[in-house]
This record gives sequence, structure tokens and C-alpha cells, in this order.
Amino acid sequence: MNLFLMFIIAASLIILNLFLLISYNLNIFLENHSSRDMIIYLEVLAESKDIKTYQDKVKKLLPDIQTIKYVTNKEALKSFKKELGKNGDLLEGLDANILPSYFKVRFSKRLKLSKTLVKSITDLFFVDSLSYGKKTYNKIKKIRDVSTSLSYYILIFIIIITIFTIYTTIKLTIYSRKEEIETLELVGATQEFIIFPFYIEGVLQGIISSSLALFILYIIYSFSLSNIAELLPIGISGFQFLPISYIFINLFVTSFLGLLSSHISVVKFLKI
Amino acid sequence: MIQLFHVYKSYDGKNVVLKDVNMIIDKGEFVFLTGASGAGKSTLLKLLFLEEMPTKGQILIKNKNISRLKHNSIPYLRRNIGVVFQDFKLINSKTVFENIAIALEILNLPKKIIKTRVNSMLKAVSLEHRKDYFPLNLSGGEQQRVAIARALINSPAILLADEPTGNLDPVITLEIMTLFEKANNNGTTVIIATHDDSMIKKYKKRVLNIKDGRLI
Repeated sequence: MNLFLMFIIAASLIILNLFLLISYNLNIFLENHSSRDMIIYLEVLAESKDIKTYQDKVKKLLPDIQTIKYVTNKEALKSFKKELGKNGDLLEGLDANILPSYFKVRFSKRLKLSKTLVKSITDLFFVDSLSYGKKTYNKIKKIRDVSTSLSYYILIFIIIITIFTIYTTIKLTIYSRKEEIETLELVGATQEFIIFPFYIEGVLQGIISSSLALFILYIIYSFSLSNIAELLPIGISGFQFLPISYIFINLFVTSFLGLLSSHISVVKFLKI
Repeated sequence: MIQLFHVYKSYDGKNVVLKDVNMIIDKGEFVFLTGASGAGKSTLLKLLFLEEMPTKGQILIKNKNISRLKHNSIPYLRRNIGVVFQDFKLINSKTVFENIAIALEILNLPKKIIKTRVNSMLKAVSLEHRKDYFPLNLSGGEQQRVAIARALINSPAILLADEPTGNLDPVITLEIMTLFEKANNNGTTVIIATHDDSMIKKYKKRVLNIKDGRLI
């Protein structure tokens, strides 16, 4: 097995997996946040004793509500202070009334709001405005889409690199073992007996390269979480590594590519 | 066991190496194939273990016409034929033990059996002390004995040997010939290509003489 060539495959796989990791996490973000949450800001004059009635009216208008929570302006200020962290002192002495109270709504499905529906909610007399993160959602969706498209292009590139690299390695191995293969044939070895080790070599190359790439990516991921997270203005603590199912698919695909490359090489150079 | 009918062999279509060879070798026979260098002895052996195919004519081995043999059946026929190649054809990256074991590994025998049989064969060719050596660290005579051990290890129905004692001293030659005779006594048909007249005289076996590609 050629270590240098395996590193080439691993390096290409790291790039691919990095893009897939970004896409995967943006997907999670899109699933969990923007699209399933809505904030309904209430008019300052909205009566707190009528909250239950207001909630019922909202529930009637909006489908698929999972939870609806009333947040008072005091709680809103407290939460805002918490978000500001060290700079929370800036809000010291301010009256809670500067912030509106609101309903925090979570939907069981991704939101698809029509203009009519949005209007019917904003038209409610106790509603001041709505925030359902459409802009953020679309922005993140755009980044996710670019990252996913890039992953596809890189995937094609990786397939070519992997096949070519493993094909070359097997070709070199066949050449270096030409005399051995000839002897094996003459003493009565079947084709299966002769070619089996080459297939194993191809599959192993795929698996080792892929494992190496995932391992290095995991180190990069862990390092980023513990060191870079502090430097960023927004939290990335929810950033997840690739799921186990993906890791298995990754290993399966690379071992299949290894097998395929070995097969091409064996058919061409062993003339079977 | 082996039958040749009007066999011709030419490598380039112009120079005919074997011309109209007809012969029958019965099961359990011990035959010397003799003739000058270039007479066609090695080519005839190559036809018998299917390294080469005849240009014309029919060859029957164990009543099977090898011209009609499917490509994927060739390995199974070769397993019945032990061959001692003139250039030994040992695998330099494998030890003496591994080189001999190959002939059994291709039969998918259990490792334990392979180990016992190879060790016993190493003893028979007096190479126990060299079992972990690589071929390039052996003398020519030792390499030849490894090749003989590999050919005999799976008790083949036919043993073909191309100048098997060419590099051996008289004592080792005697040991090797005793091994061949033992295999022959156990039912193996033995064909030895040689131009060593003293050996032919000593062992008094059937002799097939080839001259300019013809059996005379």
C-alpha cells in the first residue's frame, strides 16, 4: 500500500467532509430554529389579564402549533441581559416597559406562512408585529445550498481522484508482483485466489483513507469548538460532528470505490 | 495418462519447434526425455502443463483434451501436475517455507496441515535449516531443491522436471532421484527432461529422445 497516495485521498476527503459538515449543521440550524419559531410582539397596552383569550385567538389562526409561551416584558429584559453577557450592565436602570411582552410560538412543522395569514395575525388588535426569522432563514438557506452544491462538485472530483489513485497503486502492485502472479498461475492457483488480495488492498485503501480523513476532521472540529467558539460573537456550541450514519456511508462509499478501482486495474493488467 | 497425437508447436509461425510428435505415457511410468539443448524438450514439457498450447495436434492428459479445456479449468488440471522449472520460478519475496506452502494454500488446506506437510517435505529435501531463508540467500542447488519440494508437496498425478539435477552435486542428485522414485512408486507418473547421460544409464528407465523437434 502506498501511504503517500492514501494521504492524497484522505486530504481530498477532508475537504469534502468539511463542506458536508457545514451543510449538515446549517441544516440542523434551519430545522431547529428559524423556520419553526415565531415571535408575536404584543401591543404595549395589551392587558395581561386577557392573555389567555389572546392565546386562543392566535391558536385558532395558526396551524400546527406545538407550544405557545407568553413572555412578559420583565422576562424579556432579563433574557436580553443574559444574551448580552458581560455587557448586560448597559441595561441597568432601564424600565422593563421599553420591551414589549410577546408570545413565543413553536410549530411542529416547518413554517410556510402565506401573506394572508401573516396579515390576519398582524391585524389582531393586540398584536404589534411578527418576527419569524424569514430573512435569517433565507440567508442561512442560501449558505447551506452553496455549501451543498460545492460538496457535490467536490464529490465528483473525489471520486475521480480516489479511483485514479487506487487504480495506480494496484497497477504498481501488479507490476511488482508479476513474477509471483505468473508462478501462482503455473502451480494451479485459480484467478479468484490471485486477484482476491488486490481487491482486499483496494478496499483497505479506501477504508483507511476515509478513516484518516474523518479522524483529522474530528480533531479540527474539536479544536474549533474549544478554541474558536470563544472568539465568535455567536455561539457555535450546538455545532455537531457528522452523524454515525454518514460516517458509515462514507466508509461504504470509499471501500466501494476501492473495490471498483482494483477491479478496473485487475481486469486491465491481469487480463482476466 | 498422457497422449500426444501429431503435435506441432511453433512460436512465430515460421520456425517449428516440435514436429509431428506422437507419444503415449502410461499411468505410473518413469520416463526420461532427452535430447540436445534446443531440441524441444522444454517446449514439450510446457505443452504438458499448459504454459503453451500446441499449434496443431491433440494432447490428452488424464483423458482430457487440453485444447478443449475451458480457461477457468486450467488451474484444476495444473494441480495434478507438479513442475520443477528449469529457472525454478521461486517467489523471491517469500521464504522457503512459504514458497513450498503455496502449492497447498491454493488448495485451501488448513494451516495446521500445511505446516506439518511442508516441514516433512523440508526434511525430505534436507532444507529444514533453511526454512526461513529467502530464495536469493540460497545456493543454486538449494533453490532447485525448494522447487522440487514445491512440485512434490501435493503428491501430484504427474511430475514434470526440466533438468532437475543440473545444479546438484552427486550426493544431492541421489537424494532427489530417490524422492522422484519414491513418488513414482506411490503412483506418480514422472517425466524428467535431461541431457545427463550418466543418469539415464544409471536409472534404466524408458527414454524418449527428441532431435530437431521430432521424437525418434
